[in-house]
Amino acid sequence: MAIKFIKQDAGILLEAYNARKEEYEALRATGKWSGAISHAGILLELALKLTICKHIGATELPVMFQIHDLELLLYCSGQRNNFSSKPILERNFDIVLKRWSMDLRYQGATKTQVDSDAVHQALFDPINGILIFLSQYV
Amino acid sequence: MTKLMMVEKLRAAVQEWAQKHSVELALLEVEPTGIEMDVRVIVVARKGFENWPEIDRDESLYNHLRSVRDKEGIVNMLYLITLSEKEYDKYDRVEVV
Repeated sequence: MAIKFIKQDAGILLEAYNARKEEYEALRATGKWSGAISHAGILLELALKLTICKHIGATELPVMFQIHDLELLLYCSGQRNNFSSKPILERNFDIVLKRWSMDLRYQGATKTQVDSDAVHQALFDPINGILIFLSQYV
Repeated sequence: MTKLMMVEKLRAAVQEWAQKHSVELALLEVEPTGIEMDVRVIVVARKGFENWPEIDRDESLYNHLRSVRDKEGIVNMLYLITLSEKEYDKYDRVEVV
């Protein structure tokens, strides 16, 4: 039986990451905190999927990776041990996880600047930000 | 260490932390996520979280559990949710797929 793959290969996922990042910055700049957090989670999802591509040495992911479960994606990325052994990364991952869900798409402006700032710091802190850390694998 | 022993140790550690910070627990769940030894800890307080910002109490609980985890040689990811009873009313865990 042939394996089915996600239509978007690593190159397209990277393009999507860059497009969502621009949108994320615009949402933050205009104080759209819920939208910014919604995009932040998608950025992390895309970064983890790109990390998985690198981890398994492939440019396409099987359709089983058409998921939004960040815990499972972290596990499959091969980075879980790095996160569990570095408390700041572990904490930062938890900060994003507890504030983001795909369900945010169906909610109004439920998130505050405090929430968005916490997520932003967790992702983009120059030393311990998750996306900064993952950028070496993307 | 078995998963059950780990859960019991973390549960006891949360109770110890609550007592130390005069937090009256209304609900305590320590449940494995299904990924290796990773656990999700949900703490709902009847009293004690009123004037304690979420990010600070999370940090405090994490530091306590981390010290126990290091002492016991537990290797896992900790996911923490600390809520007041009022916050728990609004809390709705969504199954992620």
